[in-house]
Amino acid sequence: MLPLNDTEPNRYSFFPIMTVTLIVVNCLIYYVEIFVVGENYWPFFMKYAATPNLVLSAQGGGALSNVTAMFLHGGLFHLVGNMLPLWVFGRRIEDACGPWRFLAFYLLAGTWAHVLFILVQSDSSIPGVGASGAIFGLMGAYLLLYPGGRIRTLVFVSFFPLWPRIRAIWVVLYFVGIQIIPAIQILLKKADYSVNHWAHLGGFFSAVFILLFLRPEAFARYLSDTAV
Amino acid sequence: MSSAEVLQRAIQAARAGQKVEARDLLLQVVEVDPRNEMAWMWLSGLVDTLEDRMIACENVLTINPANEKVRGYLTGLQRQHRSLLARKDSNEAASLFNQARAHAERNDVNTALRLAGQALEKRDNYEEAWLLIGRISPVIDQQIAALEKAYKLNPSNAETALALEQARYLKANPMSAAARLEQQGKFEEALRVYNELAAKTKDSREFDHIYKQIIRIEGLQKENIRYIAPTSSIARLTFAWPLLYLSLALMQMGLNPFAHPVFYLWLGLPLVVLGSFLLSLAEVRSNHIVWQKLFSEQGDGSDFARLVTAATGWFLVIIPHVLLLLDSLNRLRNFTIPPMPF
Repeated sequence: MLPLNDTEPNRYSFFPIMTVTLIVVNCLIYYVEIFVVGENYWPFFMKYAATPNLVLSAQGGGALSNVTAMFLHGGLFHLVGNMLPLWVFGRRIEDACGPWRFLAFYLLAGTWAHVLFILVQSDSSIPGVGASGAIFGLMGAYLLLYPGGRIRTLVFVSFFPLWPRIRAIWVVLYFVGIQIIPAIQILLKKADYSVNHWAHLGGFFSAVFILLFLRPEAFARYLSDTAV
Repeated sequence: MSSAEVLQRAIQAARAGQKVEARDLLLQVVEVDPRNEMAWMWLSGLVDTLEDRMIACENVLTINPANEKVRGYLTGLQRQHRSLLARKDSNEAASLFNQARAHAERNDVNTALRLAGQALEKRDNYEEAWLLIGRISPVIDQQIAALEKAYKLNPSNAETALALEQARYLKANPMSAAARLEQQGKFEEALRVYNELAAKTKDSREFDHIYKQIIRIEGLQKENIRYIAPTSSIARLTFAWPLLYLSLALMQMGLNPFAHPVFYLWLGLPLVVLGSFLLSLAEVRSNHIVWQKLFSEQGDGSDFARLVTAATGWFLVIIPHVLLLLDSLNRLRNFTIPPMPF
């Protein structure tokens, strides 16, 4: 299942400048990772990714690494898998917040994703990278603000590609649902996953803060149970 | 018995303190002889009400305009009468004004205006009533007229002077007036002002702008969007940037500010709060006290004032974040890369 597009129009702004900027910056940084850093990725990741034992011992970049980690990706599929939902869910969240507060919320969701990841896997020395924590924050926010929204989603039914418009609640619940069992296994059995499931959940739960970032009219609409 | 005899008996009775008997006898006299000056004079002291005393005195003066003693007495009575009437009117006016204020507090503007108007009919120099009309009237000309009256009655009232200045500003800037009404949740009145402006304007760009506002407000009304006071929006938005800063500072301190304290990062928090407040203030249209105190303005902040406020806000928000960045870079400079665990 891969979200492709949110078919609803913007209400307040014409162009999602910050969403597009974030996508471009993520792609540029991935280009740097591949063509500049190349094989020498370990020191680069140690400096600029969120590594639990380093953060907890106040070593390394701290706040800076927490932010830069959100812009690093482990592969092209990782990048595309994050940038598509960033476009799908970010566009209307940015519309409801305005570009700068959207950026602040994005960074906040990414930070709280790292906080939960670091607290749960506190002794891990594996660096956490990727925008997915922040993007799960956007998904949670989308669910709060546009529960009736529909997402054009690519699904494969026995190798046949289909792209129906699915209710956002099902798309988001699917992505959150597939985090829960691995997250429990990590917590209880110290299972080793290459996917940062606790960061995803941390980002998702931080979505409640979206209410502090909304434009006044969007907030009034939210309180009035009307489309934001 | 002749009327002269009856008059004598009445005078004797009055002198003996038998007021009722004396008055009845005097009334008999004036009924027979309505131009009996002496009878009317005695009656003026024996009738019950102030009005009757005045009538008796006036009758004496009609018969004998040269009676200065009675004229002086009548003047005193008239003064006393005016004072009583004024006191009565004043009490009624105060009662009406209190009702008007209560209706105004319940946003029942029409009733409040009607009652305040009635209070002013009783007492024209009622400053508070004029001030109330000046504050709640939806018609800007009525506001200005009422505030001018209040100001004339008490030029030392700084509150009235400010309200009058604001009302004049809004008359000169009707778009701001409409925006102010919208801020106050008075969508109907804001629409009325916008519609009047749309009918008057000859500039197509301005018309487009006004038309957009009309469509937007009609949309808010149609969708029954709840009114949120600008101060609440400013308070809510003020939390946004400090929350991010706190989270980042917490990461910088290893999620344990007691084990890895960085004191100057805490000092940055009030700056971010202030900066975030100024950013919210610059964004949300509000007749905030900051515009009056810092910029001596009557409206929602001129473009210049809002720009200065936003720039100051950004500066205050960014500085602590830059300090955070510098602290991170400093730590990275002294950081020894650990070996790969696999």
